Amino acid sequence: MDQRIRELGAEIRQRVERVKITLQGSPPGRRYLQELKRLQGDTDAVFRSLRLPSGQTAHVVYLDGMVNADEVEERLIKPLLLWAPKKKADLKLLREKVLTAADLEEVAFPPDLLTGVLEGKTALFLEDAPGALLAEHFGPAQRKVEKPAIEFSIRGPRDAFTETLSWNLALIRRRIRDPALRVRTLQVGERSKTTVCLVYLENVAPPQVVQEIEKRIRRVRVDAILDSGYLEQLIEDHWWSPFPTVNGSERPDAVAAGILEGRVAIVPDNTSYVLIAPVTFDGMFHSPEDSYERWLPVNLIRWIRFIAAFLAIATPSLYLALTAYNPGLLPRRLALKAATAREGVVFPVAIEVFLIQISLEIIKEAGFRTPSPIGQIFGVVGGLVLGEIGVRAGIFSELMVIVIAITALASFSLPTFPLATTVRLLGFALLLFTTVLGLYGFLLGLFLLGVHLSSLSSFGVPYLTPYTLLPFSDWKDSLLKLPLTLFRKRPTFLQPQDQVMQKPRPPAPLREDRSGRADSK
Amino acid sequence: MAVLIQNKLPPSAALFLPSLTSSVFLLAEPRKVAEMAGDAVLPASLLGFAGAGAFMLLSAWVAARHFPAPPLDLFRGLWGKYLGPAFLFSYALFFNGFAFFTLRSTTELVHQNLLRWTPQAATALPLLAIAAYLAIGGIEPIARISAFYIPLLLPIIAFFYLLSLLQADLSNLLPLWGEAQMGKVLFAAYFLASEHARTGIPIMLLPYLLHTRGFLPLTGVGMFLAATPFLLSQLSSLAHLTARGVLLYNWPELVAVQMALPPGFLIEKLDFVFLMAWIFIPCMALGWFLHWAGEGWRQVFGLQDRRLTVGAASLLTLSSLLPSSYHAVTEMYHYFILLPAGFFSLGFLFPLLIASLIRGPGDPRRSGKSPAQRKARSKG
Repeated sequence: MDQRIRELGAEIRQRVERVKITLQGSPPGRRYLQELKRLQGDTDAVFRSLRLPSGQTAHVVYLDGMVNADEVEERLIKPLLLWAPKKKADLKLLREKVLTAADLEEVAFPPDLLTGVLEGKTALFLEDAPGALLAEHFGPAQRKVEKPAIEFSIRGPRDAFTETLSWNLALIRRRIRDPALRVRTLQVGERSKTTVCLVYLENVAPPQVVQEIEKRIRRVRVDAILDSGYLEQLIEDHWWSPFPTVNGSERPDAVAAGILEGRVAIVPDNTSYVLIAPVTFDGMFHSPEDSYERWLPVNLIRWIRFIAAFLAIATPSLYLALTAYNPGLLPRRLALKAATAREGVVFPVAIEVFLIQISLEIIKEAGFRTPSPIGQIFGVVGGLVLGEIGVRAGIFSELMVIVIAITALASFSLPTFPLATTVRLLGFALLLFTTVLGLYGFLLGLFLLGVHLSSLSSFGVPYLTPYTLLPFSDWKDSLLKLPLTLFRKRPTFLQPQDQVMQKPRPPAPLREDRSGRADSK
Repeated sequence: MAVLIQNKLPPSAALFLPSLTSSVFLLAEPRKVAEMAGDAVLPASLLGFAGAGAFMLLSAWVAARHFPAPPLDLFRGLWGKYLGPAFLFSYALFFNGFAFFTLRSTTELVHQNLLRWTPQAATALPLLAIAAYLAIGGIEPIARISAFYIPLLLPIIAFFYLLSLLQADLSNLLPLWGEAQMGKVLFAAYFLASEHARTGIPIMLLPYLLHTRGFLPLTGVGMFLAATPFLLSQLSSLAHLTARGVLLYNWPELVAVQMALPPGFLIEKLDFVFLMAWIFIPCMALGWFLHWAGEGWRQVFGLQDRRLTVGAASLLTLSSLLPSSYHAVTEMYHYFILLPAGFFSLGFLFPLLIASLIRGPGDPRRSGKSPAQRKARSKG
């Protein structure tokens, strides 16, 4: 680490010296131009020199495609050319009286200017004046805010994050208009120079967690961060675990809810999937709309999710254990039915289960990869044809098709995509245990799952929280969801600085009768 | 990674971890109590369990007045350069012995009831590997997993015992004393109490739970929770099989449940559900024993890597699969158990108890109470 810092320091000093030596004695603007000339060979770099009425030369530099050229024309070039006074201009004057661009940042160090242009900003500087201006928000045509593609909900807001960082930040800010909302900006990626923002409530989020997340992000030394998934894998606690210890969402309301609880959102540029940490196993079963619906139906839905997760993991393994290893456990009529259904099936149960499980995964994957209308049809037709013909050909039994249908439906009913993929993987692992040791292997597999979950943590928060804590205040939004009026405090396992989430409601105002007298009824 | 948020151990650890001792009881064949106590199995069991509870609570109380550090770290300080390692060695062996018997009993249970034709090594190895993985994680994952699984499992187990009791003929419990001799009954009670209490769960947990309010009451409730299935199992096996009948079976409590249950609706043999629930608890107990055995070896040999120490403990445990070592260890273990005071009591609890009686409570900074609290208490 220290060596890396020393190397970076030496590199910066060398660059500064190089710029000083080559440009010594030249006008200040020439230094900026010289630095930016490194881009001149690129076909997308636009260099525009303007002769102002004052006789000065101004340079505008930007990367075509990353900047909207019309906006540059309208807000930078046109005001400059239309500016009539022959008085000699400086950057302060231009910024305050001439240019109409809203967001202008002044830089003095040439490498910063180059970085700014590479980030998609427009550089403006005068040849004979020190300093340069970087204009922001001249973005190219960007994807508009659209409906969530994965985390669809029946009730709740319909907007989702886009690939533009500033819009994503705005979507969060629109929901939390609190001056304590902090946006800390970092740059990650040796070559991509991706901007990553940490968003949190300064007086709620535990400072040690914010510091730890920032520290881990600063330690990342990778060429590029092309998606939040890169960052997730580079900062997570347990890289070897199938369970994600950093969660994500494409919904601003979900991220805002997390921030309000005391978590930290990690918003990288160029991705519509925002990360949030710390997370717990229980949180993977929550959907944002749980907070929008009334509490009683939400409890039913949440338990259905828990049952679905268990069924998605365990159904094929249980089928295998009960039909191949311990058929004596089934009631006689059911055992006979199962045996009759398997009559004519050419493979042993274990191979049959593996074959159909793999077929199901192939159909799922094909459905995801093909365009959506075709993908849906493909999934249904593929499933039907494969099931029907597989049964007729004696590859699968009818009971097996039912088992796999339950598994598939259960896996689709999970609220978060990372959980759904983890469950698919765990299903295979449990199947392997059961194939080797039958019902005992199934139990051992479940036990191993529990052991693994109990050994995980996310930024210091045990992953199995709140199932293993006695403070029942943390249980109000876990296995059961209590009415919103009882949500007075934030989850204590996050150790928020400000614990109060909902203050007691003031007493109802006295009702006034027509004569204006207060009526306490 | 440094601990970011100090959750320490969940307070539920004090509540649920004592249940691990129940598994040791049941899997270490309570039939032995009948062998020792004769007709008076029930009085001996009740007496033994009451003794174990009192011993565990007393040890927790004494430790609460003195020590925030893990107990095994204190042996050298208490007993010096030569005797300290000797006690540590015996204590590591003691926990390894428990791991040894737990693994052996669990694999036998599985072999007899689930996988008759599978070699025992095939069932023992994965179980041991998982328990070692749990033990390497340290005390926190063990506490978390016990707090996660035991509240699910205990009610299932208790339900089956209750169901079994309802079907039983309670007159089989009589005579309560019969031809038993007081000395043998007391001896059986002592056997139970010492075996149970010497796993020392409250005292081992204490340093991690100093922040928990009401640690002792929680441990008391935990002891009660642990006692319930144990006592119910004794009652149900005696009520079905009589005090002499239990001698005929390896797993009398399982036979009692099998005798009582009608065919199920979804599962033909409901006793398998009971058995499945039972398998989880020894798995957790095995992790607990391996952890403390590993800690003992760490102290004895000055090893720092927990993977190494737990690995060594696991290898020793694995020797339970060899018939010759099993018989040898069984013999040795009985001699250890029958020692008058036991290593745990002699090496740790009694010195503390005496110090506590002579000097009063220890240094407040070390006892987990603030000086203000202590002052207020002394004024009161």
